[in-house]
Amino acid sequence: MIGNFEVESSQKLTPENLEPERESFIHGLWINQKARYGIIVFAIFIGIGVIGHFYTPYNPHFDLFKSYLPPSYAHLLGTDYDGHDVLSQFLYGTGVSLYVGAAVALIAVFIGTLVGLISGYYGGFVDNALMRFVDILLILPTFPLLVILSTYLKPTITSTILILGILSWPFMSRVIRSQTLTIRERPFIKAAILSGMTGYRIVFREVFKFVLPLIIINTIYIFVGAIVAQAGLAFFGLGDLSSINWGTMLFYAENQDAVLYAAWWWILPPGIAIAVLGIAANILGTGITEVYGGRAGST
Amino acid sequence: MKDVILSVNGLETIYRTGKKEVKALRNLYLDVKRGETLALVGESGSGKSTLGLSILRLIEPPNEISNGKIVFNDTEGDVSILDLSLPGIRKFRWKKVSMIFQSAMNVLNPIARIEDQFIDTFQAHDINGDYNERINHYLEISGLGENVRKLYPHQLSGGMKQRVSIALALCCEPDLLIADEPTTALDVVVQKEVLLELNRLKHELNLSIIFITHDLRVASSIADRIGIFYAGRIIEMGKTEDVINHPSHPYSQLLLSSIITTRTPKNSTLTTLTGSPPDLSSRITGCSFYPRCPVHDVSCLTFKEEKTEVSKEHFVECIRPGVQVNGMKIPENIRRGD
Amino acid sequence: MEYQLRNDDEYSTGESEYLIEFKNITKIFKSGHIQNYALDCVNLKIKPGESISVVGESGSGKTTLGLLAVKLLTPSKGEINFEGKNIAKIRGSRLREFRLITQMVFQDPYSSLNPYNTILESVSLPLVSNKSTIEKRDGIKLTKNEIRKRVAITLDRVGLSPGESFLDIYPKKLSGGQRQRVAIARALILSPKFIVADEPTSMLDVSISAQVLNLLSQLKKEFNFSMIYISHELATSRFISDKMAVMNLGRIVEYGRSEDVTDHPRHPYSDILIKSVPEIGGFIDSNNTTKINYNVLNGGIKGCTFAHSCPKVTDKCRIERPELQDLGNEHYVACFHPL
Repeated sequence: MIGNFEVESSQKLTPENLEPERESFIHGLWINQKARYGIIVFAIFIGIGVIGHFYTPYNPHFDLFKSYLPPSYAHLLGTDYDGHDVLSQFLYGTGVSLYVGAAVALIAVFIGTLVGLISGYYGGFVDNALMRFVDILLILPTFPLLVILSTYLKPTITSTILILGILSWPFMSRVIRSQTLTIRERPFIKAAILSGMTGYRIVFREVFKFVLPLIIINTIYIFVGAIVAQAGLAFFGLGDLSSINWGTMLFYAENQDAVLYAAWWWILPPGIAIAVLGIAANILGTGITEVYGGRAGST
Repeated sequence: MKDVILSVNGLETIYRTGKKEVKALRNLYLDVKRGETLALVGESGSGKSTLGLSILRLIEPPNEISNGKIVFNDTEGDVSILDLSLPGIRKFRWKKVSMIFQSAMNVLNPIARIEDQFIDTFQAHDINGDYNERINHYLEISGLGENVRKLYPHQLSGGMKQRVSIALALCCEPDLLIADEPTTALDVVVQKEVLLELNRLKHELNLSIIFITHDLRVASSIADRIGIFYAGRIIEMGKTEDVINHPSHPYSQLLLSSIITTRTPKNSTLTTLTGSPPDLSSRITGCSFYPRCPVHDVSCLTFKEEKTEVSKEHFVECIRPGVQVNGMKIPENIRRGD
Repeated sequence: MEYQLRNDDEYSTGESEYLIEFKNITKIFKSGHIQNYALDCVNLKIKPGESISVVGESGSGKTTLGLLAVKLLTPSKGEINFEGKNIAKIRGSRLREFRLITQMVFQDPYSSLNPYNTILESVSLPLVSNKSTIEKRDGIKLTKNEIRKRVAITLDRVGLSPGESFLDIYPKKLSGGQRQRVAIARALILSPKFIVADEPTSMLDVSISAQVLNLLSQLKKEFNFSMIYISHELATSRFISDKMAVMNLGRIVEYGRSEDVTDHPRHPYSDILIKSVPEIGGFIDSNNTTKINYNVLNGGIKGCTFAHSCPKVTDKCRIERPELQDLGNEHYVACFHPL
């Protein structure tokens, strides 16, 4: 059945080559230092976000104590101007901020990837039309737009998410489109066509696998970027001020002159949290690409 | 003047990636004679390109040249290349030894005109004076017209770009030229033109050439001597006719038999090499070719890699020099005339 | 039916005895206002089981011809018939059938395989994409195990033995020669009738090249597929093919049995090509060199494509296009002054 000629036994792999990747992708993520640290930090924040939504030492909305109490055993992060427990606010607010980041990332990545892949792979009229639309969105000045929208619409967390999502996907689509264009002409894509694969399968399987690391990294960046953007908006009073999140904490702190009162325990936590999360996101993104690329290589 | 222009003694070069250390050159010995074209033939990973880079000290950390001596026999005295200071090596490069690369685009600045690239090179090597004349001269001897001066690399064809990189390599008047696969990326007609050009330049300018290639046919058509590279060492070396007509090492014999010429009988099965080259990150005991050698025996495992003279100036590293692979005769169609 | 990696089908070539026919094929690439005639009225016919090498330098159009043959490009003018039917018109299930029996092996082994696919995933792509068709044809369900089995057998067949051990690794663990074998396995797995090999060995070392050529030679005999072997390398092209077509700037300038073309070239361009091949037999020959002008813009050339550099050129060559004329013995040349 195999054929009646001598096959050269020349292609035996050396023992080390013979082993398929021992670890699964997940295990690989754990071994890679960068990915591991990133995951741990993210896990901590997500943990805080989830738990903090349901359980905090005091009720962040209603429990009032003396204002501007410095940190003590009873109030680990002190109290704010009105007397709310800052720790409770922080724990509760983490969840909201993370939720915003995740929701925006989801919207932006989903639309951005879809548009980018289709635009890049199919080209022609579809590509032109989509990219002109993207151009328009990119030209829109983000901040003034947000200011105007916030003045006319009642700002809620949901509206903030929608706006940030709509403003984030165009860039993503360009990035994905770029990479799709570079690999569209590669032989392995041509081979997929020759195998009888239909267009959409090629896009969503062969091309997708190749752009996945890019998607992951951009997702993480959009996630952090959205959190920062939302915090920034809130800080300028353009968000839903009735919500408790990192941004509104900063807004109220500024508004109530926390600096004058040297109430560092109110100012620092949100800022540090954003910084730490940003750095962790960076490291995690690098780690994930290393693992994904390490398994398969990008040659 | 000494007969030998460059001698390499016990050269060891290591490449490092992550935790892996690969010995690309293992205790290499080589002499290049003044005025000759020496071809170094080997497959990918054999170390031949690494030798060229090592001679010009273009090995960057974390890779390094870990051992050995390279001596350039200049008219003014001997220069130990590996001991030169940094300014010293910069003066040395291009003025004594220069290099042509496989892809001209590894050399040419895509956003500079051709004549500016010459000027940059002259200035980098402290050559002053009338640049115009020199540029025209080197372009002319490389077979290019003056009209090329104002052009950018992308406006030139592959063959023309390669000629420019040859001209650039020669413009500081070196004594030794290292050509690393200079024609591999070129079409076959252009390849012949470039090879003829190199040959002519060698005679006109009194050059010595180290010609690195994986193609034995190209090597055979232009070289005075051939050295066969395998696993970081030169395992056979001699005059071209000797190596081609009486290959002593089984690897050389198998290499030759893999060559298809226009007289290879169709529908024949070529005798080819099997397996793959050894892993240079681990220690090699005995003969490096042992696993793939069709005529090996147990004694090969105890072989200390050293040269034996097979005939005048023809050396081989084999425990049974002159052994023939399965009584294989090199087919008549690839014997070398002269 | 037991799985066999063979092709025992009777060839139904319709009205034509040829498997593939190129009829007056022209392919023009536009870039701004500049038109490039990659192919300029090319005619070629291939019989079942026949292998033809298409030889030329860069810009000759040989790769374009290959891409047209497998319908990765469409011709600007002319028609390509496969088994007597014009492939430009086929769609849907007919197109899928066409894809089942035509395949291609590419030049660069390092970009022929999706680096994020295991060898199993890459080689089984044709199987998976045509699952239902194959299940009907072979009367067997293509389970994961069945797919693994077929891929392993095919890998063994191309010299990657034991095939099983190669299935779950990624291409980055393989050398160039091994990757090319994987690409060949992928092309073979549906037992195609026609394979285009686009310079499959030009990026491989000489000894690996020889192995791959041995392999192609054996597979060709065993499977009896037709092949277009594209190359700039004359000796290997002659070795592997029955007939040879020499191309220059989008036209076939000489065509015949490969040994006839290489041993007795009748077109001045073929002659130069052959004399430029470095031979082991002696020092490089400084006679017999004609400088070829490569600055020719191929926007549709009026006379002969080689008129600009031909040592035998006359005025007629510059005005009139020479067509392929029969010199007897199945040897054709497009020249007014054949050698």
